[in-house]
Amino acid sequence: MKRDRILNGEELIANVDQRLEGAGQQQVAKVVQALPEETVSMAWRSALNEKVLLASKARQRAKVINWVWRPTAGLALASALAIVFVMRTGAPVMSAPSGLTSNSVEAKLVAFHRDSSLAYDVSGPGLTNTDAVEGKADLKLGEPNWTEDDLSSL
Amino acid sequence: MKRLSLALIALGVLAMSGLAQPVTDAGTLLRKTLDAAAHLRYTGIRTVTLRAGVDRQVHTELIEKQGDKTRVEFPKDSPYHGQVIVESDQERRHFFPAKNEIRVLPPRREKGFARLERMASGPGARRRLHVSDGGMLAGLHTELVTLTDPMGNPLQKLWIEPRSGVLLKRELYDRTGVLQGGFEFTQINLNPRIDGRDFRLAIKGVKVLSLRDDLRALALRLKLPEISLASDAPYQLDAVRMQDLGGQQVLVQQYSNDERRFSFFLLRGAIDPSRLQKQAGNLRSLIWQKDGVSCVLLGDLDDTEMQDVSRRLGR
Repeated sequence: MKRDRILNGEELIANVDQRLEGAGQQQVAKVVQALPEETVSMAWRSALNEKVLLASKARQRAKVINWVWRPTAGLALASALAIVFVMRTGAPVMSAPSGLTSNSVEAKLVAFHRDSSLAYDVSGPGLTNTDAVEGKADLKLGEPNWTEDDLSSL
Repeated sequence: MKRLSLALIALGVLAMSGLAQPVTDAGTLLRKTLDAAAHLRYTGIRTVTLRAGVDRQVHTELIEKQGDKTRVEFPKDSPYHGQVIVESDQERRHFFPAKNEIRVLPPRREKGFARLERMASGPGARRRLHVSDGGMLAGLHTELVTLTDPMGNPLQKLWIEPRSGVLLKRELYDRTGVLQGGFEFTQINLNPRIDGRDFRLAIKGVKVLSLRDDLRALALRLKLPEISLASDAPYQLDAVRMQDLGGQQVLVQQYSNDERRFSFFLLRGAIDPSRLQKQAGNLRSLIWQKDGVSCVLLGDLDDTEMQDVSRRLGR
């Protein structure tokens, strides 16, 4: 029944003051006052600063490395992919006409066969380019060289 | 009267369109040209263009033809002036005045032309022929026969005078459409006076050599074995020559029949088969070694023919 009674403001303050001045509270106050007074040390703060500075330097170095190496690595990867793509598809390699792709003996054999076969098809009974090569150094010997005058005088 | 005028105009239009349009189909025209080659008589001047690597060589020929006989000479300003080629259905004689030699060779005739007809009209032919107006050439009206691949890219063009069947111009292209070679008559006389003796080439004191003689002499000179197809083989030996290819002296033999043509190379150096086949494209190649010599077959033979030929060559 006593709890049921509602205290007014003045009664409430008087009650709190009374409790603070109680023996238990006085004892706690004495214990707190008896505690040794410690001076504030800044050594831990300095150590922390040094650690932060070191960490900051490491991060900056990593940043520089990343700035240089990440694009390089990306470029290398892209190049590798391009090489694989080109080698697989062969698309950008333009093939030249026969005989022009290489100076190898194999290429020359093929070019010779193609050129001479074509010349046979074109020339029929006429002269082919291989005949022409054969005959190019040919000089005329003992040719009569008749002129129209010689013929008309007969 | 009005009706008659309209009818005459209509007839005129029809006649004009008939003149502009080709009168024959391509197959008939080609057949006519092939048949005509056996009995045509003409004299003429033609320019021949041949491609050798990146260069194009052009020369002029003076042609005299009577049926299956042909005589070819060269004008005075030609580097080949003095040489004479006389060909019949039996043989081809080529006179080299500087060497005082006559080379006796197999006839070439229009073998390539016959191959063209088979390419276009044979079973399973994937190439197409069509005919159009070819315009005027050497003073004659022509019809143009074009051979194309299935996509319509031109492979060969033939300008034919349709009444006589004479072939006045021919062009050959590669797969990219680049002109590889051809000839064109600049003058032609379809009614000439020809002396039959023009087709004899027998000069006293001249050395007469056959291809087999050439082969023997060249093999000896190059210290290479004299390997060749026997004369009864189903392929004719068309040419023998020594050729400098990539710094190596190579003995080359060329053979053909009506459908196939191939080269047989003999050389001392090694040949890489995969590199050769890569270069050869749609041609077939076969390489083997014999007594330290590389033997190379290259041509449009199929696998069975390639094996047969290599066996005949002692592989």
